[in-house]
Amino acid sequence: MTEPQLSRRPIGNALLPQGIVFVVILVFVTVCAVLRNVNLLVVVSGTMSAVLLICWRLSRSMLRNTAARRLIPEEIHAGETIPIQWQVDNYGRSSIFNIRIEDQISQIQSSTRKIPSSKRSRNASKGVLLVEGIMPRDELIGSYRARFASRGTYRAGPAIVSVQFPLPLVKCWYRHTGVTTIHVAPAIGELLPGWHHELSQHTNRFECHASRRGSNQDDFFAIRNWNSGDSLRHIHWRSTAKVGQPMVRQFESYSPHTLAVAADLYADPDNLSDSLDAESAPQICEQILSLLATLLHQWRQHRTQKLFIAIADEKPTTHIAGQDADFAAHLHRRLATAQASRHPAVVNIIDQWNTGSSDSKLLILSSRAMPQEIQDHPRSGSVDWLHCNALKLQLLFQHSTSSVRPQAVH
Amino acid sequence: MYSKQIHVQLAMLLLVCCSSFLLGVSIGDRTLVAISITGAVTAFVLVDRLRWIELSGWMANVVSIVVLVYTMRQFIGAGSAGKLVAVAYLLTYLLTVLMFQKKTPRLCWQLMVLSVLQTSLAAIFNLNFENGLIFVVYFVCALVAMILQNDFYEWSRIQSANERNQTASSQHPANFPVGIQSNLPGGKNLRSRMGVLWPWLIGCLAFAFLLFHSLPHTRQQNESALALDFSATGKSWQTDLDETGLVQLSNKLIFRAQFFDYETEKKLLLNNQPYFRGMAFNKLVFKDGKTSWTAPYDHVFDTFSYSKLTRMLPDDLRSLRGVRRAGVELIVEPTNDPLLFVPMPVYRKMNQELVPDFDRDLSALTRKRFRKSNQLTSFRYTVVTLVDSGNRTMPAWPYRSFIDDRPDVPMQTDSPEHAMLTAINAERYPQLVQTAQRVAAKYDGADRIELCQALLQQLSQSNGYSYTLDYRTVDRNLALDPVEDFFANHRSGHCAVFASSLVLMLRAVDIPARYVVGFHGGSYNNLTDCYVVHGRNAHAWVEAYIPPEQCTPEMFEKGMARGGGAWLTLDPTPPVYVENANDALDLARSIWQDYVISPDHNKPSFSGPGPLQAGSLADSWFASAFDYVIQTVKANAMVQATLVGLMVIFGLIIAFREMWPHRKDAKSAAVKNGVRQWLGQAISLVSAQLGDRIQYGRRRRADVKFYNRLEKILKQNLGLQRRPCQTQQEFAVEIGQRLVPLATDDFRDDQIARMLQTITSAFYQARFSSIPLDNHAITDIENQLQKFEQTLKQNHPSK
Repeated sequence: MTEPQLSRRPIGNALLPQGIVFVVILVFVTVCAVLRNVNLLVVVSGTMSAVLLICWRLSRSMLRNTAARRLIPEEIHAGETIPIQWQVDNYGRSSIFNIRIEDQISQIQSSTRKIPSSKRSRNASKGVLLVEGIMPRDELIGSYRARFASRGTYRAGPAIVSVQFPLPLVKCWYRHTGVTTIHVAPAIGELLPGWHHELSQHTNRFECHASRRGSNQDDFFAIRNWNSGDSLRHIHWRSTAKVGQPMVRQFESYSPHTLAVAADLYADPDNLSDSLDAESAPQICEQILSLLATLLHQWRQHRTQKLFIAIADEKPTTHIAGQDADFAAHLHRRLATAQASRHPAVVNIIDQWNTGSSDSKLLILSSRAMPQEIQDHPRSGSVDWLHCNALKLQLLFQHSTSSVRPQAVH
Repeated sequence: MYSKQIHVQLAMLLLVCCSSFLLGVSIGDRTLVAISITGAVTAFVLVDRLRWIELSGWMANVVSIVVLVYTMRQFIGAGSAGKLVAVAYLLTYLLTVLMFQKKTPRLCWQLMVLSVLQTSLAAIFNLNFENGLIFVVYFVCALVAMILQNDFYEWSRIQSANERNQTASSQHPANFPVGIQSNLPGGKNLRSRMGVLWPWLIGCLAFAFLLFHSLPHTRQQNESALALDFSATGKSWQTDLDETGLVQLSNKLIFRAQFFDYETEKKLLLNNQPYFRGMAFNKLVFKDGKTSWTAPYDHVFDTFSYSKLTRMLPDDLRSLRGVRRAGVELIVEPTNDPLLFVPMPVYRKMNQELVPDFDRDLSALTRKRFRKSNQLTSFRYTVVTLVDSGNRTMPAWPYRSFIDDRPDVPMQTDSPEHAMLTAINAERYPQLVQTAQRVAAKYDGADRIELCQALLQQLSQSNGYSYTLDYRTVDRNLALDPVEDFFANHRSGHCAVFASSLVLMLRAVDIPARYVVGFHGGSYNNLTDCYVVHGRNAHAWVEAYIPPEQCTPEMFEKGMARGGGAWLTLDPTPPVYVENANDALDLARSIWQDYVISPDHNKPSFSGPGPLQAGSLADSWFASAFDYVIQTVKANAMVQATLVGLMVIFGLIIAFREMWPHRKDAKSAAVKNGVRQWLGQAISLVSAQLGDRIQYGRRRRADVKFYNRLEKILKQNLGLQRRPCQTQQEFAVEIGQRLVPLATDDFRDDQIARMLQTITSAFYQARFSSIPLDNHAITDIENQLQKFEQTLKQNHPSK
């Protein structure tokens, strides 16, 4: 364990409310000892002073030998409860106790707007982590649980690391300035059979999956880990018992063809005829993004097919598995920060798709019908436009009912 | 619910019981102790355990206000001490009320604050040595209680924060998009925390001692203005002789006395049991069928009859041959009794600030007692007496005229004093008077001292007289006067009847005599070299007047007699056994009383600690230890050189560390670790445990070499590496997915996943669990890793 530069870290000291009461009693006892000439009170006074001093020095020395860092899972989706972990290292030669970490998480950017800094600090949620004891030259990982209700960008930190030991009289603390930006992707859902049906309807060249090899329950292609959206009927209980985590039977083998999906994040109430759609356009965009997040998540599990995902908002981006070294991370971040717009640059996406050598069609999921500009586009034949309204999306995709996904929890 | 709540509740119960006991005992109110302890235990059972009742906040406030009003009645109009007592009652009642509420962290803190105030108040009053031990126990309890309360407080804070977060995120999800749930602490590691604390506790006590030792101590403890009904020690103004039951002996400590040579201040060990004389009783009265010795004890309240000991200077006794002046330092335990006890003859110690008075009316040494003010602390005084060359106290002391307080005027036979001291109702004591006159006739012509001795012999064991305290076995004739009955019939009794008989016999032959009470002997403490006198050492004896013409020349030479004659001490009671003190306990008690409660000495000087007190003894121990160290260092050049060398090396190390505070590069760390490893392995040959401790520090590091090997394999063969923000579990999940395409028939994907899961679980167990991995598991993992590595190398040689 390499000791970092701990000694130069400024450490603050604060008298806790109980400490203030303690000091008041100490003053009272001392005054009584002096005024009434009671020697035993001098002993009491001395003992109390010593206790106060020792609390201060002990807390300070413990804190000086402490280093803490935040560990946040890479992949976070909205609606999931995840552990925010802190690794606390004890570089000292004696045990340290009662390390208290007061962390805070605030939203920087929601799915629709950027949060002003004043509101950001006011609405920050605070998590407390109490590390009860760490042996000398040892480390401990503790955590608290956080549930991100919506996708967006969040900021964790700064945190206050403090020690008040052995008595709640004096608190020594320092400000942990490490701030972590958390990108929360849309919630993962479950792809329904309607989704596969929709894909096969739009293009016969586009085969996202092969035909089933067998029709009975014992004839399957492979056994894989359970993913969100998998039916409980497909769980292979014997393997699950062996491995210790849910395994499911996979009846289909994925084709090497490219799955190309784009999201047209259009939300302009003026151009939508249906008032119901107008009201739910941003929500439809959110659901489309959730669908993409689910696709990404499934790709992460199998990585057996080529994937092209494009997101069209004011700053359109394309993400191609295999070309981008950190494809998943970039797409994850993009899913977290994408915002619906009046003028999504979907034309750019189509142009970019056609510059590639793929012979597949691009499936564009949109909250609107195909606009005129796309229809007039010379390469409009290379895209399949899927106008998604709330009813349509219910056939393709549904949100997962489980809010807990397997995470590294200690 | 907090998992350690029972610990907190027990700690609070113990704390409240301790502090209430201390306060109740210090103000002498056992009822208060009973009320508070009963209340606390009842509250613990009914409120904390059974949860049958619980005072709500407003109800507790109402009760507290009632208690406040009730105690304010005592507070208003009382003196300063009375006000403190009222506060003591208020604190105790409030604590009892608080105990009947639900124990929240806030309430626990309030309980602790009140109990500390209670203890402080108890310290203002008085705490004896035994209660001092409880005082120490209280502080340990308070410390543990505060640690437990700290945990409870943290738990409560986190739970409140969780509830707040849950409410905010559920009611205002747009404003609070992050719902946070913190893990509640379980109050673990209490034993470890206590283990860390004990050296700090010792430091804390040492600090308190140093502070106490270096601060100036109070010197006027004897004039404390606290007015309390404190149980009197010693005697009352009369002694009843009509005992019919068992005479109870008290073990209460009365005073301690230490003899020292007046010139050299060296401790003096007497060769006889000293008599510490209190008061003389002159008048025998018969009232309500009882016989009692009485004295004008109430006169002590008046100041008219006081005479300072200033007129009794020992300087003029310096020329006496065969006589030594002995200083006597006496420390009387807290009492409101104005009488003091001294060995006679008694003189004033020169240059003494505190001068006791001598009441001629009582013929006793006294101190002033302020009206309605009593002593709550010990009283210390020093007098001078005479001892002979054999270190024995004198059996007689000079008579001083009752009329004009002159030492050279004998008692006149027609004086009222003579009449009072020879008064006897002969009709009540026919047998006694007859015997005395018969003896006197036998010794007709002999001197008075011989006659006194002859009368004394009449009460000897050879004549069938025996000592007893159990009058239940004595065949008493209640129709007779108890003294006559003793003398003539049953001949068994305690010192009071022996002394009474002798006084009456002396008076029957017209010798002025009086009945004297005080203490005889006591247990001798070898550590403090002092006599520890308890209630059981109370004694009665006789003083007979010897006119100057009857005094022997030796009596004049030794200062036992002067021109006015002498008082001869006669003790007719058969001797009782001499006991030894429980030295260590008594020494601790002495140190507590002298050094903590009421030190009456200057700051310790190394040259000459004040003689004859336990506090000085403690000082002298420290002083002698310090002197020994200094002398050793001064005398030994090698020690000096070593010390200087160590200081220089220490200074250089400090300077080096200050100049290069972060010069801990990998090389020096490696060297240091290498040396430690080597040393640890060497010591392991002798002691495996100690060797391990040196090698691996206080706790042996978890053996996770198998996991390091897995990481190495993945990095070398596949270029996979765990990221800093990634936990081992996450890493396992990720590489499990990536390794699926690399599966072969020999090493299938489910086997890989299982292997990764096994290794990760084993890592967590070894790293964070208290259960170590067994060798079989490690071997199994090693085999799997080896197979895995071979598979990777065969199938992916390019990586």
